[in-house]
Amino acid sequence: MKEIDFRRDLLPHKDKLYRLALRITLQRPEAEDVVQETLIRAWERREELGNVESVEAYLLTVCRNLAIDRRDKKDNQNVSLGEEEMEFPASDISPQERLEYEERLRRVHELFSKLPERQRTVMQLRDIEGLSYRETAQAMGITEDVVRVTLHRARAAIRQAFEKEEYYGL
Amino acid sequence: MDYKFVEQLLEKYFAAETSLEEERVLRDCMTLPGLPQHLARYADLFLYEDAQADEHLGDDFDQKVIAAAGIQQPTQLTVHARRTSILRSLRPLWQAAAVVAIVALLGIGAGRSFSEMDDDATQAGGSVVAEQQTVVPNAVQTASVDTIPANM
Repeated sequence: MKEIDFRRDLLPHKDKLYRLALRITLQRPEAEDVVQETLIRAWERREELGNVESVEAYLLTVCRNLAIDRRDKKDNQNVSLGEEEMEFPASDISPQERLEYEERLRRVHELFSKLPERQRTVMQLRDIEGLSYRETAQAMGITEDVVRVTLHRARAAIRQAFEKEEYYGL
Repeated sequence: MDYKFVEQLLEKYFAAETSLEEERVLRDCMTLPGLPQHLARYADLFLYEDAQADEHLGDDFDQKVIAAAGIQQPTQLTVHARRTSILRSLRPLWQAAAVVAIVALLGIGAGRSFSEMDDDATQAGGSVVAEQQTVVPNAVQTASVDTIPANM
């Protein structure tokens, strides 16, 4: 059984967890809290973690569940979600170009945010984190076939939105 | 550039039939300049995904979570680099040289003192010897008076 070290085995996953939590909660402070809670829970269960096949998959699963709970609680409290400040680092371009660049990416961000949570999560894990179908399936607790179908639907929805924007000049 | 290839890859991508490697190739292709419009309109999707991959937590997160988890921080030895002049950095060398010089001088001084002491000692020791010698010559002289040479 592998002995789990916090700094060596858990902390290196923090940014991937953060991006997933952010994708689901759409709020930076919430996402950070989710990551902290995920890592602490994993640490408290470190003895069981030593037997797990993939620590990353375990962490992603816990993170996703906590993020969904956090988001659902916020919805139930009818708290209006402030528009998240998106940061799109771009260097070596003029302020005008930067504004246009940020605006274009903000539109894509809105399309992503309108997807159902499962489709958003699959896009996050596959397209942004580069996980295989198998790794994505493990993290989400679903089969690879379901990952593929969900990914297909998500990408098709985004494509349709792109074409609609272009057609209607939005 | 064969845009037909990119077009086919894009169709495969939207059908969720691409491998990870094909998706990497597609991402690279979608950032190329001069893409035909029917392909370029999707470029922002890949630009966005690239930008999102850079999202990360702040520098203070590690400390916060380690403290919250109740994990002990390892003792850290902090070494501060400090600018120093060449003279200052050679200081130990000067100091060592100074010590050697002092010891050498002391040694020479001590050596001289010892040799002076020897001279003094020889002189002092010689008068004792001389007294003895005085005694001896008297005895010798007596002996020699007693023994007046025959030819006188």
